[in-house]
Amino acid sequence: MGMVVPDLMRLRPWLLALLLLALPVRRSVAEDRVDFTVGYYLEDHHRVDVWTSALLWETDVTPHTIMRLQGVYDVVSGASPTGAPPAQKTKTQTKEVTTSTGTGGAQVITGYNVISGPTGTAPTYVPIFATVGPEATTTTQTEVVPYGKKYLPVQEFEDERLSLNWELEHQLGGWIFTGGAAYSEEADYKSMAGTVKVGREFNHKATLLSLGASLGHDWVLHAEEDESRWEDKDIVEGQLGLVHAINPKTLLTLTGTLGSSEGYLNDQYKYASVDDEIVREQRPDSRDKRIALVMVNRAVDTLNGSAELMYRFYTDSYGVDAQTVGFTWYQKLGKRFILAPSLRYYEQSAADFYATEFTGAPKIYSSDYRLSKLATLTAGLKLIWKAYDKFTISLAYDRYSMWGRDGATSNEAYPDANVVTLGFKLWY
Amino acid sequence: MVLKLDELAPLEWTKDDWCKTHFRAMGTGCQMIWRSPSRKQGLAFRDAAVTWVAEFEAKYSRYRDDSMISAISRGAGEHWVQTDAELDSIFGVCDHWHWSTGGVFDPTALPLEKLWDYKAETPRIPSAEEIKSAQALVGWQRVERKPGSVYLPDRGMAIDLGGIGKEYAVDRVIEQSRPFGIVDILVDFGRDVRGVGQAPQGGQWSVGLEDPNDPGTCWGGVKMSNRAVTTSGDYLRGFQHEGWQYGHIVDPRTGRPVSNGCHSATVVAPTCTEAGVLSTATLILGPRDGLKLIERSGFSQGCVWQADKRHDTSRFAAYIL
Repeated sequence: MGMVVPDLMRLRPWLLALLLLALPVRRSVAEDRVDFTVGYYLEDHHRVDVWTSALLWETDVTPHTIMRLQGVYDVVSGASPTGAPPAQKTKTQTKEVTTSTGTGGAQVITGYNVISGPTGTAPTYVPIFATVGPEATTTTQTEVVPYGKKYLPVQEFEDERLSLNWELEHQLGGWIFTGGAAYSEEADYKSMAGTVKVGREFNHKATLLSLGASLGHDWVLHAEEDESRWEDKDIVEGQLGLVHAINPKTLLTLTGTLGSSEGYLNDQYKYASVDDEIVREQRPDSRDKRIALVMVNRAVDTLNGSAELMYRFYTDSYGVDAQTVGFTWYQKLGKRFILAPSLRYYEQSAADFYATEFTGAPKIYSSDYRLSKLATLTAGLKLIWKAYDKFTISLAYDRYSMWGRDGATSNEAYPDANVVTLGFKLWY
Repeated sequence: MVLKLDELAPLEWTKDDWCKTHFRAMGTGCQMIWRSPSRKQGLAFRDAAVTWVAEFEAKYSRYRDDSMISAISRGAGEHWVQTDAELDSIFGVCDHWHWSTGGVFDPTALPLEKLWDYKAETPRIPSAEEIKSAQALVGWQRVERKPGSVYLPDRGMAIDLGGIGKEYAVDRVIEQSRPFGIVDILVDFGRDVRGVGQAPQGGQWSVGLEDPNDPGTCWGGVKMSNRAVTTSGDYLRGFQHEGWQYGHIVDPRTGRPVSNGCHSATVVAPTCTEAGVLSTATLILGPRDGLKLIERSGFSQGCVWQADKRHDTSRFAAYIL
């Protein structure tokens, strides 16, 4: 799920901060650096498109202290499935049939009081309101009627998000201390987060152990028919990381993460069919998760390249178990180019409370396709050009495909997309 | 005005106090369903409402030569024409919606609508010159007004309340029901609908929404109380020319019929006037800008059908039955 760009859009600062924590803690001997990246994500059939741009500035504040400032600006627009059931189906409907000996004779209620439509040719409906005479009798009948049409209800959206991240890293002997703060804002979501991290180098700096924690608070604008209010969400996460150089050519990275979210966790724009009524989804108000990541980087001198292999396991209290396996090959081409093809596969099980429709008045339910049993495959190619000694340009293309694995969720819900990213890095 | 109301708008009344009447006005079928404490009171409301609608049509229909609207159009480029307080009030509403829709709603678009006359025996495609000339006569912002009178500055300009008249009448009839002690009522003029209180079956009023891909059937329905719902579409009225379908709704910005692939737009809003203007404007603007306009309006929600695909505003699903 985390590989979907629109979902990346929803990454909150606390998560961005944790991603930073997931990176190996760097020695405090950096040159000043500026990174600028611009990316474009476009789903097939133009369902969703996202422009994202990020600027990172890294500078030495003192000989042992580095400061990083990052700003990210995203513009997302398009349409997303609401979760309301698609396609033609039938439902059993009870209707009243009224017969009358009064003027107009027996007529039938269609199930609606009236019909809305453009003015034009007279509609061919049966009469829309029973003619009820003094001798009228009403009986109840049950019938199976077509329900809906072959379509997938989607909801249009357009949003902008600005996020700012600040981080300070200080090295004291073999210890590395990092603190950071983050803030992001969009029309219906605000988020603040703080992170701390302590790293310790061992083994002649061949091993780095780190421990980090993050606290975040989000505000979600919950809009009802006639009023809106801000709902709260609290997030706490902790992470243990190990980066170890097994030998001069092999680097091992291990991280374990524990996290918990509490409060308003619904996506207010998602709906579900419950007892044939379309209602807003209702998720549990807490979610605990555990993540383990293993990554190995290995230089292959004979091929003048290096390989990166990663495996990630995720499990949470929603009942979602997920795993990701990825492989990237970095091939040097001459002195100034690196070509990096990559392949990544992700699969997850469905949340315990996911279904395409519900009966029996459940308390917890969601038809958000992102909680269904699904898989994704991402194939990418990246070209890095070292234009000058201290300036590189990179261009990447990824083809992203998602599909359902439950046989129930409409395949139309799952997006396929193209992602293009252009990046610049300057050291000075 | 003397009307034979029992013939024009027969009243049906049930023992459980529900009344219904139907009649023709404003070129379309109209009906009202309401709960009344007595048959007598039900009759009194029917009389008041139907009489008001008949007078409203007589004064403001462009199809009647003796109407105030026709007099205004006849006086275009020549003289100021006297208006009454109600028309001044309707013009005020037009001001608001003309501005809010960025000019897409324009009561002076009649020269363009006449140019693309889908009712003609052999409809034709106007030339670019003709369209340009007609567009020069369109522009609500150019209409000069002061309390009690109005002036169209160019000969050939005209006003047509077709885009707001029925909807405004629905709202006014709902208002008029209150002094009669009516709390449960649905008014449906030409399938522009507003419901207040409860429906005869109990609970909210249910309104079917016509399927633009299969006219005569409904793709679904909405439930509502104290809300109005209207649907604009170009699939019932229009003409074909050399294999192309031309709808009857003209975009005043381009001077041509809407051709964005949208077949219908439905809006649920607090008033029928708002729903009607927004649904037509949404059809013209298309899903992205149209749905944004609906969201911006505050308490309205809606959807657009584009081919087989339905696009909803963020909370439209909450109304769906």
